[in-house]
Amino acid sequence: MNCKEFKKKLPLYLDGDINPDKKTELDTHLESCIECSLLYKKVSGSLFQLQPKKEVSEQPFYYTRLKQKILNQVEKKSFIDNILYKKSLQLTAYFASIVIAVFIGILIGSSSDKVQYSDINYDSKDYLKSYMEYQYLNDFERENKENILLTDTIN
Amino acid sequence: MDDKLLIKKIAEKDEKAFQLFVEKYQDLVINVCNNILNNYDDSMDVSQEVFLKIYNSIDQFRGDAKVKTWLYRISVNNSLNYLRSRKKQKWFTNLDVLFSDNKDSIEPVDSEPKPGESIELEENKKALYYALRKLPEKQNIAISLHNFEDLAYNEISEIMNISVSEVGVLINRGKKKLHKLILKYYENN
Repeated sequence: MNCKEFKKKLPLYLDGDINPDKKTELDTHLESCIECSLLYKKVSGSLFQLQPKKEVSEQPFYYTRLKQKILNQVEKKSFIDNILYKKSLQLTAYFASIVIAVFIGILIGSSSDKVQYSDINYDSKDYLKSYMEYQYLNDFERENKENILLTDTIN
Repeated sequence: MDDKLLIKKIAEKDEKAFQLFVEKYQDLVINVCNNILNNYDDSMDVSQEVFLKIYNSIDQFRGDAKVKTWLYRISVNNSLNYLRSRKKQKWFTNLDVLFSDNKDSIEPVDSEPKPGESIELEENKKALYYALRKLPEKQNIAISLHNFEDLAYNEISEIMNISVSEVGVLINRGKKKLHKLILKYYENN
């Protein structure tokens, strides 16, 4: 058996998933090859670490540090709550001012002495007369045959 | 004070009860975290996060599992989350190194060799943890809980919320893969 074959079979050897003849071959190679023997020793050493261990010793100030973290958490929470409270207050104030502004605008609009549009009688001669006087002030108004006829009718 | 009473008092935010609880289970939580993370400082931080989580969400403990099982579960999950966030951080750190002028790679430092430990022992541990990290998460956890915490298959199945047979499969496959990975580590180094 050469080193290449040994390395290929080593995982099976470690698993114990190898037939007795092959195992004997591997054992023989281990006895004769220093490099493979060293490799086997290292791998076994690593696998040996896979055992129960309690490495961390007692921590005398562990609870003190934990308690501080809890307190910091409470402070952070109340700080965030304060900010959120302020933000929601701000939003409420903005919304309220918009509503008030719209309401004032409606009040101003409704309190003027202008003629309400609903009061206009579109068939009356007075309306037609004032329409004809101001038609040129209307941006979208065009001179058309109907208007000429209308003018003629009034005159 | 028994666990059920402790839990009830902690839910009422009884500080004394919480302190007793922490003192009773801190070794267990710290060691579980350390077995997965293999880093003293990280395991301290993660274990404290575990207790913080317990303090904040103790009312979510339904009482159908043992307290120990519940603690193992939270500790394992928190440790895994920490490892995942470290991997992402490492990816960004490597990107940073790639695009920066400073070509020194910034590797997070793993646990320092403890006083009295031989270099060989340190190398053995390094190889083992290298291989464990390369395993799929579930295999890693199953092997860690079985070998480091000395838990039986049925206890592991409760913690991981899988069947006992699945635990067996995870451990067997994990160990086979582990042998190959350790061998690969030594061949490359």
